[in-house]
Amino acid sequence: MKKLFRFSLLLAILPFALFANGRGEAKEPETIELSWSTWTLPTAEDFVILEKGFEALYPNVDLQPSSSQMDEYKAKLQAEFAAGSGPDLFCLQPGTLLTQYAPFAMDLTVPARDVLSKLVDAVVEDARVRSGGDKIAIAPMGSSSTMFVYYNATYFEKAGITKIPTDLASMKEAFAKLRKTYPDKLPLSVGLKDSWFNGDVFAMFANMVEPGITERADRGEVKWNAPQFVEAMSILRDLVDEGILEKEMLGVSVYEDSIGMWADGKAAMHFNGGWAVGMLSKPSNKNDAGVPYADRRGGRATDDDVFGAFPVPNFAGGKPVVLGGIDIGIAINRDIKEFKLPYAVNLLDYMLVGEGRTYETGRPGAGLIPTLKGASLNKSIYQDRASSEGVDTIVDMTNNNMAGPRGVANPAVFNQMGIVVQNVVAGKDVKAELDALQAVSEK
Amino acid sequence: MKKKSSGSLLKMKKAETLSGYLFVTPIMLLLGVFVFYGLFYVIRLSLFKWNGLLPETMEFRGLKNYILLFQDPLSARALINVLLFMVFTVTVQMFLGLIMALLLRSKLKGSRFFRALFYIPVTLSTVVIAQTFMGLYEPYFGLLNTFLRGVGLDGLVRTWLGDPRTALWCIIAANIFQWTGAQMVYYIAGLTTISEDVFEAAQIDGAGFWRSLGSIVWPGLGPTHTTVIILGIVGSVKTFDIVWLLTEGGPGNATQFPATLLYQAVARNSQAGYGAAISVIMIALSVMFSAVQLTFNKKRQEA
Repeated sequence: MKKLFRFSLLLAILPFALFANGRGEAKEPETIELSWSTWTLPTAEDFVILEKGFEALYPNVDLQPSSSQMDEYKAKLQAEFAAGSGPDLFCLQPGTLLTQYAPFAMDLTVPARDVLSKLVDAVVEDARVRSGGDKIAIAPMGSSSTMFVYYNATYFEKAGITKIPTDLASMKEAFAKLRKTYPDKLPLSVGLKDSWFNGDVFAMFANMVEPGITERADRGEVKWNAPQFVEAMSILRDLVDEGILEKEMLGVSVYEDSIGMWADGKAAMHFNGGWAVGMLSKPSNKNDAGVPYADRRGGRATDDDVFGAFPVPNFAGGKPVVLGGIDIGIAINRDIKEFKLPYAVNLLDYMLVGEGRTYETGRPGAGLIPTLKGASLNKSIYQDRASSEGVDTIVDMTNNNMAGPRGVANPAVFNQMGIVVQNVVAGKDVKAELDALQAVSEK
Repeated sequence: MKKKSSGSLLKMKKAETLSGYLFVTPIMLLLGVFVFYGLFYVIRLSLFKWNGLLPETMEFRGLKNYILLFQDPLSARALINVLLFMVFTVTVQMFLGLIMALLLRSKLKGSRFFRALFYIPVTLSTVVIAQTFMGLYEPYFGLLNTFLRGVGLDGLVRTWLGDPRTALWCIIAANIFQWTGAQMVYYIAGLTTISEDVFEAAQIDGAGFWRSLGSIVWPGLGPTHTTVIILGIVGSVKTFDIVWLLTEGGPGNATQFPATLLYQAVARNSQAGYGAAISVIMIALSVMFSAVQLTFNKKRQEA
């Protein structure tokens, strides 16, 4: 009986013993572990190269990167910061992500002064504004903008389209020629199944009507059911009625469906952000590891297929509008241990100025516009006139012709913006949908 | 033999009782921390407005999250969807699972192969199932529409996942495909509890397949039906992965489920308190539906 009693006592104590291993002291260890979390970029494959490069420069550092998809990343950050921890460095995107996590990020103005001084001044200032104005929460790694029409220049040529469409009339003309020459192919594929993409679609149409309107509505200066938004969604509805956008696209995702159909040659045009610029490079252009710069996502395009890009025409009349700015920035945890901070700043330098930046902005499939003063994309991998002009257009629009930022501060509003687009394309009442959006913004 | 005194017996009983408590202490602690604490925390959280990040930003708002939830037309949409999903998946899976179990119960050549074959979807990740069905439903070049066009049924071609009228049914079909094999296994196990003699006797009395099914198999599988229905109910209320992978609750919220609303509220919209209120309602729904089924089953058994 005594034995049984002792055994059961031991069993009862065991859980406490398991949790009682204490916390380590915060003195500098021989190997410094530096954790870095991000979404999508850099990818797990990129990290193999980046980790190796950074650890070669700083052998006492063990870089521990983690890359996940956006939703998973948000859940991870939320769980970690709510538990009072979080990675040493973490990537943020201006908009909801930065707004939410800026309080957990350190002000980089002083610790990263040297790195920031090497970046484009306007971009650094934008980082400050997006961080709330009183600090710089992110070191901008790359810029991007949305939205562009990626097109198959070979199809355009064979269909007799000599000028890229710039308005609704020329778009309809291009559609007619493409349908006549390629009756089995889609003139345009758009991934309207994805809510993250549809939020951008909403913002694009709204800014066609009045540049900067989404930013003002986000600040509460304009209601989301104001006449400008009604007009924007009516234009979207008109495109469905005109056959430019098809209701079937509600069942098409951006990746892999829409981009795959275009890269496979099943569609002549495809809507996407400037980040897909790598797709314009010929498949035979490969990096040192043999990976094609054109991230074809399973497509079967060959060097004979020439691809190009142009901004989505302004269907409300006037110049095309693109939205964007800093696409991704790196933040340092405000609670990072003191001995880790110099290495975290070194990592910023590596990724924004040094070899890491060279790799990341020139990686296969990448469309990040570098934020380093005087740096540009590697134009040598865009040999055709259409692709070369496409790259110039995307870089120029991103740097000089931005109508406003992507996204809005309230994630529920951005999500609802995407739902409005889906419902309007499906044929529901524009006014009722915008009233629902306004109601969400007031919730 | 020496007789133990009543005092030592009492001591022994006390020691045994103490040992018993000590044995259950670890599991009670684990349950307490990971289940009951979590449950009460969620109930408490549902009374607050919170973005799920900084604890100091929590703001008590009483029952407002529940009021907002009941006023939101999306909640009604999600509830209708989950009820339709529950009724159709549970019914069809039960029916198909039972038919498959009956067919494969007999020692026919190849029955073991077919059992394994029908069970394969259960072992596959939902991601694999979703990818397969996305390829099937893809509007332009998908298998289903290509087939329909091929046989001249162009009028039936649809944007299966992009049309609010068909999206839910497409999800239901994918779910039935994935889980019918599991019901088949439950029914095969259930059928072993019915003696072969009963079937033979029925056969001698001239009972055919349908008579045997209605008078012997169906009533004899009462406990299996209960298990299958309760698992189906709880599984339906929790359904998330297949919906999220196929439609993300779209198009235009047409396929929202309580779990997708919950995920959207917490992970996308940072509405932790509102999400907690959805969780509480989901728990209540599971308990309520299961209790109804158990009561119904108990009454049937008593009758």
